[in-house]
Amino acid sequence: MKKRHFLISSLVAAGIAPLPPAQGAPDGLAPTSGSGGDGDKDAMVRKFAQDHRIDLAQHRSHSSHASHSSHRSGSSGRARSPVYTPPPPRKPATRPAPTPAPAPRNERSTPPSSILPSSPAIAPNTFYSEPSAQQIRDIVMRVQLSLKAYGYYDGKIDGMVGPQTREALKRFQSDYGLKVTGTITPEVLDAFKISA
Amino acid sequence: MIALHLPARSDADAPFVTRLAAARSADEAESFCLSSASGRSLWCGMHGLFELDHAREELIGDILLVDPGAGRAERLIRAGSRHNSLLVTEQCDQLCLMCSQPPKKAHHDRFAHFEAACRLAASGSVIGLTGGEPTLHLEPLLAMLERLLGDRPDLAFHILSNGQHFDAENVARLTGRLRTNIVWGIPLYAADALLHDRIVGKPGAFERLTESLAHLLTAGARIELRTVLLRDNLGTLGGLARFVALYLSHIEQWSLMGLENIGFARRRWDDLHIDLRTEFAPVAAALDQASLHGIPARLFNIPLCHIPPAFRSFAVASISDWKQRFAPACGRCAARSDCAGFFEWHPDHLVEEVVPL
Repeated sequence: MKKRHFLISSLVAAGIAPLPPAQGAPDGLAPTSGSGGDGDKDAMVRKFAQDHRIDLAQHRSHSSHASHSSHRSGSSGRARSPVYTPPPPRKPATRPAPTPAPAPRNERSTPPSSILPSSPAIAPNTFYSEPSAQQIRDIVMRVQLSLKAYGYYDGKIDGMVGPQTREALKRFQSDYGLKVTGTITPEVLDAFKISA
Repeated sequence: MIALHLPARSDADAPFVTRLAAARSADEAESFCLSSASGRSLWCGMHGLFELDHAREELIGDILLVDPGAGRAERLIRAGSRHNSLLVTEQCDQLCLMCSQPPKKAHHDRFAHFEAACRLAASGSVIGLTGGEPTLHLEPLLAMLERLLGDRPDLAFHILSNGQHFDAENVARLTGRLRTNIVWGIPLYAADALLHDRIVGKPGAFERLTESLAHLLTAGARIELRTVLLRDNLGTLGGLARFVALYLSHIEQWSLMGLENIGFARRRWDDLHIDLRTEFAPVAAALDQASLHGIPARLFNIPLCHIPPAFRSFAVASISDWKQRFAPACGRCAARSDCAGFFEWHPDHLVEEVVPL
């Protein structure tokens, strides 16, 4: 009996019981207005890029980061100051030689400099500025980018959670002591410092 | 009309139940809103990330079944609504003339999701279980209710059933909270077996129903009898009232219900519908008969201005919030908040015919 009481009261405490009418709900998260969206996105890109400078530095010695090296292959990153010296490509067979790739492919293989430690100002934000009809795609892409930067993901940044992204999420969650769900949980967003 | 199904996108790989919260909490069953703009909202919880085609405000506190494969979310239990009901199955072994939700052959077992949803419901919630015919799956249904009411004695259930599947054995399980916290809403259309059977489209239904009612009443189960008012049974209401008073006097309530213009009733509307503004007399006689014998009778789904003043106290604002509508003229009616109004799908020309009180 005692246990039951405790259960109920804790449910009440958790907010199940008498909720205020929807209108009276606290406005914890102000909806972003349509016009202000682009400005916010830029701020997010800058914040995101800065986070990565640190994260990538830490990951330098990581052996699983062979994939990163190939990102630079088609980009103009080489011309800039050598902040990040890529290790020699480990799997040359899996990717074409570093010749100037045709445009379509390059877009797909993505965010060359935005995830590399370059100045935020130079980081292309075309990747983000493309108007996305769906907010969820936007967040998923950012999570995929982060997973890629952390060396867990080597697939497309397509905003779709497929088997590869799910697997990457699971490994990331496991390595970082988070609840392993294979989905984008609040903990994952925290770890990547992603907010909408 | 309130949308019960919302287009949704989710990164999860299987359906899940979650409660929408205004702010982040430690409760793993909750998802909180990341952002909301222009009729869309983005939510995140331990089940993952999902986006709903609905603004955030009206959804806070709702308990959702998100189905990534189907690309939609179902608002199983809406916060603050008194009209939440869970569709147990679309199968039915009757085929009523005026069925509002014609049966389908396939059954998709969703008991696990319903149980999860009920566990997240606010304290003291009354949750409807409907169909189809829920008792076609009586074993898992009772098992779910036993678990739920064992853990959540504050919950109550209203279950719509055709009363074709109760026997001494399964009714014996209706003890404790399963007796006190469940009301069975069971239709009875006439005291005449042939007429009842014809309305429900099943020979022998009346006999099987009375058998079930005997078991249920013996067990002390709470029963709401439901009678839809039809052209077919209007003339026999007096006899039904006497039958109820004589044999079923222990029921909790007798609900006389206006017809719903959907499902089978839609194409038979003109044959089935009765205009109570001109033909209330048989209903009045039945209500008087019930009152005389102490049977609590109620009128459902009838707007107050269609009921003679002396009988308005029987009327209940019964139409569920999500499918309720009013005529423009109802705006200046003083009794609107006590009125059932009309079903969303009530014929338009009839909705116009209101007299503001």
